[in-house]
Amino acid sequence: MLGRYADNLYWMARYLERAENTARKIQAGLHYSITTKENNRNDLLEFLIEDYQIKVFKKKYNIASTQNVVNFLLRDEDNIDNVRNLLKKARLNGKIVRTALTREVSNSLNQSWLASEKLLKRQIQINNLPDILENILNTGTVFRGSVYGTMLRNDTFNFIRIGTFIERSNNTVSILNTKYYRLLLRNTVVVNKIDFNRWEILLRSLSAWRSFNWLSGEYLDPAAITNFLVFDERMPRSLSFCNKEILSNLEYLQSTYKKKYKSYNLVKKNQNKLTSGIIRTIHNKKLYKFIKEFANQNNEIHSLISRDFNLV
Amino acid sequence: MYNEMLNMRGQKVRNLYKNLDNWLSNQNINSLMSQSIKAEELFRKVGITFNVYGEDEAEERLIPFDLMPRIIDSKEWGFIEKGITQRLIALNMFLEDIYSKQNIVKENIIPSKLINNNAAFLPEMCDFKPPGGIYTHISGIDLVRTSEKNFFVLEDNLRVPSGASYMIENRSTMMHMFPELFTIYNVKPVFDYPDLLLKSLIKTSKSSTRKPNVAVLTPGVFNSAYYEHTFLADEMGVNLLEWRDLLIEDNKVVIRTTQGIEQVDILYRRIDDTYLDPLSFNPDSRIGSPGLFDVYRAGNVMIANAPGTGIADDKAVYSYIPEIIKFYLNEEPILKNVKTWRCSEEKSLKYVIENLAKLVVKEVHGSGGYGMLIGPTSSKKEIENFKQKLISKPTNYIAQPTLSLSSVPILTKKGLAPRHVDLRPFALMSPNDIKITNGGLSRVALKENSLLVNSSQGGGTKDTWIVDQ
Repeated sequence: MLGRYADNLYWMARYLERAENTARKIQAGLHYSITTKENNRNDLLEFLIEDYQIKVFKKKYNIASTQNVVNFLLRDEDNIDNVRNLLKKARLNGKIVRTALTREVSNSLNQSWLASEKLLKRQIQINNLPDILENILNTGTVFRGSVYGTMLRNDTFNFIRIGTFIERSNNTVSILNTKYYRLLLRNTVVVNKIDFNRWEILLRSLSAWRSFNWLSGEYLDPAAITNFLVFDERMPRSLSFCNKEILSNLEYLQSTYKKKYKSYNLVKKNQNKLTSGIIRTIHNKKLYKFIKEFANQNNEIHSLISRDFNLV
Repeated sequence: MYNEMLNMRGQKVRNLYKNLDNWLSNQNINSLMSQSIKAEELFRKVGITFNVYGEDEAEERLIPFDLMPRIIDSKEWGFIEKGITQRLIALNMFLEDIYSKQNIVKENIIPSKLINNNAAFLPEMCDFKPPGGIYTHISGIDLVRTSEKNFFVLEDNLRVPSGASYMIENRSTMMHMFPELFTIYNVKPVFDYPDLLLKSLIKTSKSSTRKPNVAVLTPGVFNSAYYEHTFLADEMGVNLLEWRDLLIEDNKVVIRTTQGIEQVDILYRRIDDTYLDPLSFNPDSRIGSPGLFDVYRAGNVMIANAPGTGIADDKAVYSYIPEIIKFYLNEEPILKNVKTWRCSEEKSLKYVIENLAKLVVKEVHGSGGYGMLIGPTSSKKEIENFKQKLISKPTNYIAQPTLSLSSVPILTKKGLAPRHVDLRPFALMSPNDIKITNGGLSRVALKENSLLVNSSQGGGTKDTWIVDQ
């Protein structure tokens, strides 16, 4: 396969996953802002907008109203990672490699783009937001479903899956790393009301609120939550789950191409750390260090894959 | 005006269309219209779109598709095929000649100026014989019909003709929506085009011990015909490359794949000559692959069509095609040429200026309906403006009479209505063999009385059927 094709496939999946992650975060934030009576605006801003975007946001908007934040994230041209733009880029990458995709997959991309062009063209009213978010999240689901259900299990499939899970892993790790490290550092088992809300929004943004409660009962224990998001292989947004998916796709590429790759070695090393029992029991401070390292290594994995497979 | 479905008085249905007419009488116009909307949705969903140049943003548009098929008798088609074959053999010989001895110039059939001072003439191609002696691997010959017996060639597109994918997608759509029509008519297939294209390219390339690596070369995703490029690459099962993918190593063209370096043997390029290689052709070009032309001349890659074929579909050279056919084949042309005034000639220029309101004036190197004047439908002001352009650079233009293009019915809200059409069959040339598609792409002007069939000018397309009666 042409290296540039692999690059397009990889980024197509990443952009789509990124759009979906943003939508999920907004959904959680919306829930938070409706259910929390206290003055939570700064909280919301801090939670929803990535550090690199905050400057851009503050330059343009005086207040961090829900309306402003949502429009900024979904459709503001000053924000390069606005959802409309992400879906456009995903579709453009897909269009370039149309020949490598099944009709179902390229249709799903086309439809997501057509829908977002329609829904995100004008200022968004909060009343319409739930439908819009639903639509974006569906898009991602249909895309992954059609990839999973209609694509040959070959290198095309592998590069798409790797893109999806590197982006997802990045998202989880960045939430853990930048937004909630203060929470992680708290040693107490007892959670106050504000922290409770923060933990809730964190879990909701990773679609993990219900599954965590289901697994752990009603107790919001920070150590249990981080363990869940980092180590639990049953949870499709945990670092461990994402890493396992990346590893299996790289493994497949190694055996098809009959070569050894540096990217594989690094992912394998991470996998060993994630599955060994030692880290599970480590102190929170060490866990935080581990997460920070993991975030850096995600970038390293990205560069190694680019080099190993001639992605442009 | 010749109506292909109805006879002179516009009442009796011609034999060829009788079965379609019967079938239509059992259909409801509203449900056909909703089918038409469905077809459009299908095209949009699949992404069969094109980009229009000159618009603010490269906006994606659909080429409107009309559901009414255009039907041509297979015997009539046989005649057209013979005509196209004759024309292409002559044009390929012409190219071989002007890039070697230039006998046709020496014998004063064509003025030297028209060849050697022509922007489409590539001196780099002189004394180089392309693989298999073939220059025009793929061509799209634009035909118009003016009466029952009269077909004219309007243009020979020998550079990078588009439209084959629409021909195939139109057929798929028709078969999907009206399968019963295909049981009434015995329609000749068009689906084998990509396969024939691949075989024809491989047959023409220098014989090699390993299976040749074929690729389609596209200007990129924003090109107006990108959908077609992906379609053809996909159907042939080959790579779709952009210029930045091409690397030159050891006098070979190679690409970087996920598994390392791979050599490319055949490039079906959908890029104009001047953008192929900035070292050889256009030093200002930011696209193109430096050194590609040297690899080509060394015989290590085949480029289709050969660089420099544009000289043979130059609109000024077009006017000499009857002479070209006579010179190389000693035959009378089977297909007619449209009378053409070369504005570079003083007498012709005078006539054209005096008769602008009656004529169609085209740029010699123009295409897609850009930069042309259709006298009868233009305002006085438009004609006056065009006259100034013409006078300031007459060699840039040719003029032709306004032809009365035949019409076929299209589906409108009020029922069937006649609209003007042209036809572009595609021809594939390999040593000792020319294959012509069964039919081609019929382009139709959607506005009443309009003669502009180009998609960039609001034209649509139709499925074209060659049928055995």
